[in-house]
Amino acid sequence: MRNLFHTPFCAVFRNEVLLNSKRVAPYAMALLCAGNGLLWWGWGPATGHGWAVNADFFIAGVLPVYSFLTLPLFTAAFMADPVNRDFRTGVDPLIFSKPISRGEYLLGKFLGNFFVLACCQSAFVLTWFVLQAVPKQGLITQDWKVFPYIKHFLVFVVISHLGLAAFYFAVGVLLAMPSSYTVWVLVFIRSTSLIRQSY
Amino acid sequence: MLRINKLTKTYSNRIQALREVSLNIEPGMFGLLGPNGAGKTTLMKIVATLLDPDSGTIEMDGVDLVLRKDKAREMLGYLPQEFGLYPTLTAEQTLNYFAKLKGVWDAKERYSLVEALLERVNLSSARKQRVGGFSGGMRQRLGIAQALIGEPQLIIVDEPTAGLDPEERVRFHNLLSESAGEDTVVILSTHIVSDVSNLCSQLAVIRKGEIIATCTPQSAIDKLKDSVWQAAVPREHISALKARYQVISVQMAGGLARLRVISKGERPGEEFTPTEPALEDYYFDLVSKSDEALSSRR
Repeated sequence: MRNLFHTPFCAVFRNEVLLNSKRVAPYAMALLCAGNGLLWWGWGPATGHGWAVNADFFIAGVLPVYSFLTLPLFTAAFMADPVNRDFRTGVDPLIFSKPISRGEYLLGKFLGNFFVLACCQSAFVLTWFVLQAVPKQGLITQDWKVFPYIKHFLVFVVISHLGLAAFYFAVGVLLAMPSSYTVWVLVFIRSTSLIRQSY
Repeated sequence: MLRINKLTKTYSNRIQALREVSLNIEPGMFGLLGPNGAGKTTLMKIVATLLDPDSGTIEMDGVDLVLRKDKAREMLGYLPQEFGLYPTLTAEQTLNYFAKLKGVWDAKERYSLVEALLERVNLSSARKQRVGGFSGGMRQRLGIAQALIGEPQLIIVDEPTAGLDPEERVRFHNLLSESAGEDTVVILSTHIVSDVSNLCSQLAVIRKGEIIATCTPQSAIDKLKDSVWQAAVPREHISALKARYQVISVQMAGGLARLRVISKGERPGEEFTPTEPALEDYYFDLVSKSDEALSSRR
């Protein structure tokens, strides 16, 4: 059987992680997410309502808001550009003259960047996870928990953003970069106006 | 042996880039000469599997390179005319990535391969340096290093010395000639005649999508034996000489024009002395004859 780690897909995946590790954006995003987590923890609705900050329902309630109000812009920034970047840089003829199929290349690009995106997004829940150990006046903390963070992060952030990431990635591949942002902005404006109307 | 048979390519804007191009290329250095826009890059891209031809076949050691792209890419090393590299990666990381894409999975093997390649292209001291800070010559050498990964049987280099300083050019020439093994076909596509005359054992001239000549550099030079003349003449004489003879080059020096003229069997004037023909003379002669033939066809 073919070793997954010995495939062009894996080479592209790992190279994307390496390339992102040398960019400022992922670190900035992780910091913003961690800061966001800090605000939701100490100055969020839990303080006013007397909810426990590590309660399952609180995590499940906050994560969708975090996921869909703040993250789509980052998802667009991360996922729409990787393929275009290769073509802009001019590295594409060097890649495609090697034995790699377009499918392997695109999958490696997509999953490599999505992995980095998910790692950055996880700064939010990691901050919450660590802050369980920090006492704060007026804040209730239940016994130490692990599973709710993983479960809700996977469901509300990773899985829900996979579809969104695939959309941005496809738009980014098919259209030039500015156009994909335009599409995103239009989708964002339309969806927020629909949400407002529904209330 | 690489066999290209009746290759045709027309772009969507109706520009016919290649017209039934056929070539048989033996192992060794092969020069593809032609002016800008002659179809060299299109031909190189098709051989490098990056572009599909409209018709025609390319075969290398029994493998159809048009139909079996995966197999073709395993035996191919390609350095395009214009290429980029990830600026934030180091030279070592760049080669490491391309080696993986070429199927070198064993980490120890890959490490020693990358080390050997960096040594070969004289970039060992810059292995930990980011590619974004490389000079043009260093980038070009890293480019040829990635093309040499996996001991390719077919190496294609498209206009590799354009923009390089004379020292880097010589270094690059040496690298290329070292890369041409006994069973390796190296295609050097260029408009710089001296590159071909210095390096190649065979050559073809392409003009407006058609191969107009295939020969060896020596046989090309032999064709112009006793036909090339040179002289220093007053500037006013140039137009009269141009009307009667084929003027290959004009260089102004000390108020006089140093002319190189092709004239078979007839001395163009008393001031002219015979001179040894060069590959450039053959090339310019061929290109101008081809232009005349094309204009008479119209």
